[in-house]
Formats: sequence, structure tokens, C-alpha cells
Amino acid sequence: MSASHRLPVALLGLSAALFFLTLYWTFFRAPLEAEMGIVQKIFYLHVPAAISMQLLFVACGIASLVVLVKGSQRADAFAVAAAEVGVALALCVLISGPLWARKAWGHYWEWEPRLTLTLVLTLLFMAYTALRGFGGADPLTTRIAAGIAIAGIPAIYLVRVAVEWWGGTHPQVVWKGGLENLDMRIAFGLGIATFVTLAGGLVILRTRIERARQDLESLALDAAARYDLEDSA
Amino acid sequence: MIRAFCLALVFAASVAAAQAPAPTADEAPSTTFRAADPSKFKEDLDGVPFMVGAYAAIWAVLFGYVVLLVRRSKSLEGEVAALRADLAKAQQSAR
Repeated sequence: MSASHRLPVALLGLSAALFFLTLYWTFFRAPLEAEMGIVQKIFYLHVPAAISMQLLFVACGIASLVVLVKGSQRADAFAVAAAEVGVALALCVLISGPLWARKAWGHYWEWEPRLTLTLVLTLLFMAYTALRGFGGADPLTTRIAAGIAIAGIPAIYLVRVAVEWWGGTHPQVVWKGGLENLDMRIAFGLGIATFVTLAGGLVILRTRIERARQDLESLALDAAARYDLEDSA
Repeated sequence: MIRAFCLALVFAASVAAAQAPAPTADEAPSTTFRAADPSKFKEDLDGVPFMVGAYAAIWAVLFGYVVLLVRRSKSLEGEVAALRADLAKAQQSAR
């Protein structure tokens, strides 16, 4: 296995090890939360997934900017990968959050600013991935999709500040330094490390697939032009 | 188009801010997670299915995504093999 292939495998392996360590710390070391009880343990995966999702959407927006300015195929492949892995993490957030809310608030969903904006953000990047999936390598589609990803950057900032600006019932613990217990902080830190390494490994793998698809597409076009092939790829 | 979208987003956010009622003391978001006192806290087990459901859902989504990536990678390998076969045929007939 080459060094470049070892990196994503190492990251995914590290993520798996960290995941089990997070589970251990969450269930055997971190204490129960005084108000919410056991359901608060969703926090140790829900918030790290949300933070990783936001990082990936920002990365997708920045890579899309590079695509628009320089037309880089490498940046385009990275943007596609970051958006897709981000959407997978967004699904984790949007499923685990309502399950927590059902116990904590008494209902699965509330149209409060942070939840609504997170849903809008997810739909925005789902639109991006759908456009890239069905639009192929058409340059106009690529540019429109890049525009959508760039437009997502202010939405990510709005998700971050939504509760401070507009209120709402979503807990504001992380940015307020509200984890009072050391084991809670360690479990949360392990959760962050798990999801960041997982996201890194998945993005590298997905970027490779996208790069291979780009190469195959250009090779197929080249071969079709040279040998008059039909439906090669 | 991007500028129009950003403006629309800011406008929608401003409208939402203007319409949002101020949270009451009961509705105010929690800003701290405190450890429960084990001698006083009696765990309500109603939360267990939600917690297990959330962990299972996260695991299922991520596992499903990894399976999807592997299938895509295999399908791409198939396309490369098909292209190679087509190229070999075309080169033979060109000779």
C-alpha cells in the first residue's frame, strides 16, 4: 500500500479507535447530566458531528471559490467530497438532534432559528451534491454549484450565531464554556477528535474517487475522439 | 445570483428576527451541563430509547455512507476495465 493510500486508512482506523474511546468515556467516565439525565449523552456525538459538518461546508465553500477563480479540477473534486461527507454528517445531526429534543423539550422539532437554519444549510448542500451528481462535468453546472456552496458560508455563520441573535431553545453550551465536569470535557474532546479524523479520512477517499472519475471522463472523451468509441464511460 | 441569494438569506433572517418572540425564563437555552449528584439524582429511563436510537442512527448513516463509497469505487473500477477493453479493441481494429 502506497503512502498516499495509507493516510485515509490510518485516519479511519484512528477514528474507529477514538470512537470506542469516546463511547467508554461517555458511558463509564462522564457523569449523568443533572437536568437531562442519560439522554444528554447524545451531545458527545451530536455536537462533534455538527462541528465537523460546518468545517466541511466551509471547506467546500472555499474550494468552490478556488474553482470559480482558477478552474482547478483538484479543488472541484475536493469541494464535491467535502459537500457529500458534510451532508452525511448533517443527516447524523438532523436525526440525533430531534431524538434528543423529544426527551428534553417534549417534541421532535421546533422551528427555532438554529434548527431551521441547520435544515436550510443541509438542503443547500444537498442541492449542491444533487446538482453535481446529475449535472456531470458541464462547466456551467460546476459554476452554479460552486455559487451555491459559496452562498452556504454566511449560512454557516448564521447557524453559529443564531441563538445569540434571535433566541431559541437550542442549548448554548460549547461556546459558553458550559461543560463544568472534566470527564464531560474529555468525552466531548474525544468526540471531536473522532469526527474530525473520520471526516478527514472520508473526504480523502471521496476526493480520490472524484479525481479518478474526472480522469476517466477525460480519458474516455479523448479515446472516443481518437478511436470513435461509443459509450466508453 | 450569489449576491441575490446572500441578500435573500440576510433578509429572511432579519424577518425571522423581527418576528421571533423573546424567550421566557423557562424557554431560555441551557448554557451549562452540570454533573448530577448521584445521591440525589434518580435516573429517568425514558431517555434510553432516544439515546440508543441516536447512536444507532449515527452509526447506520456513517456505515451506509462507507458502503456507498466502496460500491462507487468498485463501479469506477468496472468503468475503467470497460474503457480498457474498448481501447484494446479499437487499437486492434486500427492496425
